[in-house]
Amino acid sequence: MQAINFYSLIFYGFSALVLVSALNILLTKNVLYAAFSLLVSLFGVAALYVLMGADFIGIAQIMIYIGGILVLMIFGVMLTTKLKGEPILTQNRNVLSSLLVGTGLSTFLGLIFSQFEWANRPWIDQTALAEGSIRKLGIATMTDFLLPFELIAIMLLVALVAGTYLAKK
Amino acid sequence: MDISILKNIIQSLPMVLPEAMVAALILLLTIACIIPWKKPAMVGKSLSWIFGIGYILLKINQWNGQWDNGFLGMISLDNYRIAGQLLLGGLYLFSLHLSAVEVQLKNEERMEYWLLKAAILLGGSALVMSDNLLMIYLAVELLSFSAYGLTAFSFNEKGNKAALKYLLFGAIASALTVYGMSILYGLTGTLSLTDGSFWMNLSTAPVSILAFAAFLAVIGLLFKLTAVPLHPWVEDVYQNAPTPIAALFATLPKIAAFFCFMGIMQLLPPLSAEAKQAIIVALGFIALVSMTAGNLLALGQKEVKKMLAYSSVSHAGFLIACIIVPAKSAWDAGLFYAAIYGIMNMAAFGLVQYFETGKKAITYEDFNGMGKKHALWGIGLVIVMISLTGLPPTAGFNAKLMVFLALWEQYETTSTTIYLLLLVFGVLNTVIALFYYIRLPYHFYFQEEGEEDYHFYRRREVVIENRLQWAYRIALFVAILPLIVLFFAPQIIL
Repeated sequence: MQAINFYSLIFYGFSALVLVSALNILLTKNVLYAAFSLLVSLFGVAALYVLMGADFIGIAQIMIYIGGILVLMIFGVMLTTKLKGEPILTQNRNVLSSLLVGTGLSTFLGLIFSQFEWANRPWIDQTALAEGSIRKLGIATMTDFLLPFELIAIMLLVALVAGTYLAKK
Repeated sequence: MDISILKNIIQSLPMVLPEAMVAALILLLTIACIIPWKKPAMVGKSLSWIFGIGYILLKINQWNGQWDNGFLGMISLDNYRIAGQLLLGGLYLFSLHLSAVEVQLKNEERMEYWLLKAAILLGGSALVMSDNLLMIYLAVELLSFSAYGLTAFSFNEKGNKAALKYLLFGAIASALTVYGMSILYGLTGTLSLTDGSFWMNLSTAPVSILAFAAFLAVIGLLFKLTAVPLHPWVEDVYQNAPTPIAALFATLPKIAAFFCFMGIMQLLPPLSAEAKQAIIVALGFIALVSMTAGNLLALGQKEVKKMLAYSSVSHAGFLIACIIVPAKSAWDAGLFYAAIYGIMNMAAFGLVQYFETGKKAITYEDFNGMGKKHALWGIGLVIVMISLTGLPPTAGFNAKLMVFLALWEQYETTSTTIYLLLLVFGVLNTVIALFYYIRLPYHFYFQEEGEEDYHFYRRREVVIENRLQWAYRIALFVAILPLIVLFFAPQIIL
C-alpha cells in the first residue's frame, strides 16, 4: 500500500472542506448561513490553488471573491434581513430531479475526465512552481497577452458605464 | 527577456489601428459623458460618424497588406477577414443612422448609448480577427456586455425583463464557454489556435473529452450566431430592445461570429479525418435544426419583430451551412450571404422602425391597408421580404443559390450525407419561409383597414418631420438598392 504523504493529506483535507461547505449551501435554508458556507468553500478553493503552485490565482481568489463579492453579498443579506426583521429562508424544490441531474452530470464528467492523464503534462512549467508565478504572469501580461489585456480594460469600462447608467435610470 | 517579442508587438501595432480608432472613440465618449453639452445627441452622433468612417477608411487601407500573425499569434488578418470587418463597419454606420432618427424622435439625450454601440463594433471587429481562444472569449464578452446594456435602453419594464433574461442566458453561455476552453487548455497547454502543438495535442486526446470540450468551447460563438440550442432569448430581446439596436443585434454580432468561425475552420486541417468529419456532422446538424426550428417558430408569430427574430435564427442555419463546407465556393457563398443578410435585415428593421415610430404598427394586423397611403414604402417592403425569402429578382436569391451550389458540389465530391440533407432542408425551408415573409406585404396591400383601426391610428400617429422623412427614405434606398443591383451583378462583391 502506498504511504499517504503529507501533500495529498492536505489536498484531500481542503477538497473535503470545499465539498462539505458546498453541500451545506444547498442544504441550509437560511440564506445567511449559505453565504458563510460559500465563504468557507471559496477559501478552500484558494488553498487548493496555492497548493498547486498558483499563488497569484490563490491571492486573487481571496481578494476578489471573498474580499469583494462575498462581503457585498453578506452585507446585502444582512441589510435585507434588518429591513424585514426575519431571516430570509429558501426552499428546496424538485429535490429528486435535481439529485438525478446532479449525480448524472458528475458521473458523466468523472467518467470522461478519468480517461486522460492530466498530471505531469510536458508543457507544465516546473520552474514557475519553484519561483512563484507573479513575475512570469506580469511579463506574460505585457508581452504574450498584451492585446487581451487591453481588450479586458475596454470591456470593464463598457460594463461599468452600462451598469452605472442603468442604475441611475 | 527576449527583445524580439517586443519587436513583434511593435510591428503588429498597425494591424489594430482601426480598432484603436474605435477604442479611442469609446474613451472620448466616456469623457464626453460627464460634460454637460447643450445637444448631447448631436455630439455623440457626430463623434460616432467621424470615427466610424475613420475605421472604414483605415480598414480599406489595410486591404491587400502583408499581415503576418500579430501580437504573437493573437490575431491575424487577410483580405477575407478585412472584407468581413468592412461589412461590420458599414452595418455600424447604417445602424447609427437609424439610431439618430430614433433619438431625435424621442428627444432623448444620452451619450452612453453611442458608447455601447461603438463597443459592439469593437467587439465584432476583434472577434473577426481573433486567432486565440482567449481573444475569442473576450471579444464575445465585449459584444455581450454592451448588448445587455443596450437591450435595457428602451427603459420600460419589458425591456428590462428582456435584458435580464439576456444577461442570465448569456452568463450561463459564457460560463460554459470558459469551462470548455479551460478543458482544451488542460489538454494542450496553449490557447492559440495557430499553434501547431494545439492541434497535435488535441489529436492524441481521448475523443469523449475532446467532443465535450469542443462543444462547450463553441457555445459562445453559437450564442452570438443564435443557433438553435442557444436561441430562446432572441424573441424577447429583438421585440423589446429599441429597434435600431435590434437591427444591430440581428446583424453585426452574427456576422462577426460567422467570420470568426470561418477562420477557425480554416485552421482545422491538422486534425485527423474522423475528427473533422465529426465536427462537420455536428455543426451540420445544428445548422439543420436552426434553419428548420427558426422557420417553424417564425410561422407562429404575430409581431413583425418577433418574426424577424426567428427568421434570423433560420438564417444562422444557412450561415453555419457555409461554415462546414471546406471549399473556395463556400467561402465566396458565405461572404456573399453574410453581406446580403446584413443589408436586408438592416433594411427590414429600418422599415419596421419607420412604421413603428410613425404609425405604431407592431403586429401584422397593424399593417392592414397601409398600401393605399404608403405605396412607395410598400415597394421597398416587398423587395426586402422577397429578398429575405430568397426569390428572384433580389440578391437574397443569389445568396441562397450560392449556398445550395456549394453544398451540392461538396456532396458530389465527398458524398457525405449531411450536405445533401442540408441542401434538401434548405430548399424546403425556403418554401416555408415564403409564408411568413409574404404575409407582411399581404396585410399591407390586400387587407382592408377596419374603420375602427383607421381612427385608432390617426390618434396615435406621430408626425415625422420632413427632413427626417427624407433622411429615412435615402437611407432605406441605399439599403434596398443593392438587393436589386447585386442580383444582376453579384460579381461586385466577389
